[in-house]
Amino acid sequence: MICKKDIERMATLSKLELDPREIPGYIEEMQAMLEFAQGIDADLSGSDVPEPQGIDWSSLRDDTVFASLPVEDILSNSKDTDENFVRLRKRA
Amino acid sequence: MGKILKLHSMLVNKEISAKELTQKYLSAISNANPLLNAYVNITAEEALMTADATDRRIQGGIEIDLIAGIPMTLKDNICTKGIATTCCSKILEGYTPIYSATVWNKLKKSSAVLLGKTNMDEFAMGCSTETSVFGSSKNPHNQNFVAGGSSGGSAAAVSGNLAVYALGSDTGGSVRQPASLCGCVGFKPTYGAVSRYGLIAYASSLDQVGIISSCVEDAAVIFDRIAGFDPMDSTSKPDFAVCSEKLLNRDIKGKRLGIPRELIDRVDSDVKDAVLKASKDFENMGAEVEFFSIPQLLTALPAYYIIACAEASSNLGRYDGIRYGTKSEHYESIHQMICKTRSRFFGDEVKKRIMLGTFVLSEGYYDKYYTKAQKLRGELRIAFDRIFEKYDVLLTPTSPKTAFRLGQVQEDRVGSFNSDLCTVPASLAGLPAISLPCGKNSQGLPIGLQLIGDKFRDGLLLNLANIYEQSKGIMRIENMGVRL
Repeated sequence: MICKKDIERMATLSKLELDPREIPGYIEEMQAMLEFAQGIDADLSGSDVPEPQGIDWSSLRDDTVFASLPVEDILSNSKDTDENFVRLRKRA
Repeated sequence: MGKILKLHSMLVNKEISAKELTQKYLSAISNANPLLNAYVNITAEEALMTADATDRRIQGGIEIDLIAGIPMTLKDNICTKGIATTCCSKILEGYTPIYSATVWNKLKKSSAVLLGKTNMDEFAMGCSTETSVFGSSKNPHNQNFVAGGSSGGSAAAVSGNLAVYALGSDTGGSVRQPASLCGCVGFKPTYGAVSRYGLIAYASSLDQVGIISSCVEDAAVIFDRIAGFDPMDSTSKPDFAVCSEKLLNRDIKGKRLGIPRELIDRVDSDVKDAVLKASKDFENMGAEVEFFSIPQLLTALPAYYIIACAEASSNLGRYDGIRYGTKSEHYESIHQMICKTRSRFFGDEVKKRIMLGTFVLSEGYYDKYYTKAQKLRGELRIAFDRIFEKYDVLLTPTSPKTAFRLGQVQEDRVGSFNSDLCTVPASLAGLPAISLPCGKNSQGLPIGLQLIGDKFRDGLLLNLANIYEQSKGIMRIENMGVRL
């Protein structure tokens, strides 16, 4: 069973802040989602499909190197910049 | 004849100019969009400029591509340089990409006319567009019902005759399900056949750009133009040759079709009846149809949600309010600013999926959920490989139900995951799949038939779909949008 502590831990790991009033709703929905996810434990014992092997890394091609996009373009979507950097105030 | 070929012929024969055609669509959008909420951004200026340029080429006797001057639309998670791309999320409000997706670059090069960007579930997480920050799209067949999702705006635009075709994205059925609910064609190519560069990521191992059109021929025309190797996408297939348009009319006599019992027995009776009737139609056209069983299909849906949410929790980690998008203004530290930004500007559904993904990847749960789901995915792929030794194509319903009423998903969000029952198996295995209309229910809502093919046999899939469509005719809405 999912508890308040689990929700708070998941929120922290996800870089989310939840209002304490939201938590009961999250417990209910996350519990339902995890029960749904338990469906992976369905019995497939009748199947004769073999265990999958790992990825054959040799089949992956080499990287192709391209020039980066211009720095001024990259910074164009940030609200606050200083020369070639994104600027963040330490305190509001 | 498909819509694209017909319009191309009208353009080159000067029966209509590209500008007049574009103006017709823009006018239809301003009339019908308040009803359907299909578009979230209309790019009239860009559209008319491209149309003008196409007209100049035609006037100058220069040969134009089949899709030049033809009005179309893109889902709002496909990056368009200089045009806002929001994923219908508050967190990307005001974001203007500095590069375009490869698929859009390819179409633009052929002078496709972009009418605007279409509505979707926030970050493609949903099946009804009801998680969009812009509100839900409505089904052109009945506006009390959803258009499906997550590419619901694209399907509503095509079905409501507000665009000739659309590009959407399909992670677990997001092109096929809305196409099914809106009575149009939705095609998800093989994973790796079409570049994902510039498609904003939800779950990278599943995401695929797809096509929504009013007929199979149009889907093939667009597929041939967007498919092919792209060095900017590391999962792009290097040696995939495309010529699906030439294969469309081949005889399907002797083709072997399989129907999986695990799916057909779990859908509404009106959907099941329509799909079984379609299987008889295939038999009458000379195909051989059989039922078969893959037990792995039973675990595909929960495995899909575990993998998709796990990948989403990683992919959406980039939205921190620093480099782009909206940022929370009141904070004490950078960490707090990131948390406040994400909490305030992500919607509920997105936050829940990120948290579920974080949970299944966290210490103590990784093997129980994520490793197990990946193992099941591998087994499903092997099971499909075996099945395709016996059958050419699989036949299933697209969605277990027809369109649901607006608001119904909000009452049972987890229950709505079942909407993807028939579409996620092809996504997990990276297989091509197409949805096309095969009838209507007693309320007049469309029912979709899904065909699933083996990897990189997209041409055969389009061939079978086209032959079926020719025998049944194309589903059209006559009293909305541009009528040709």
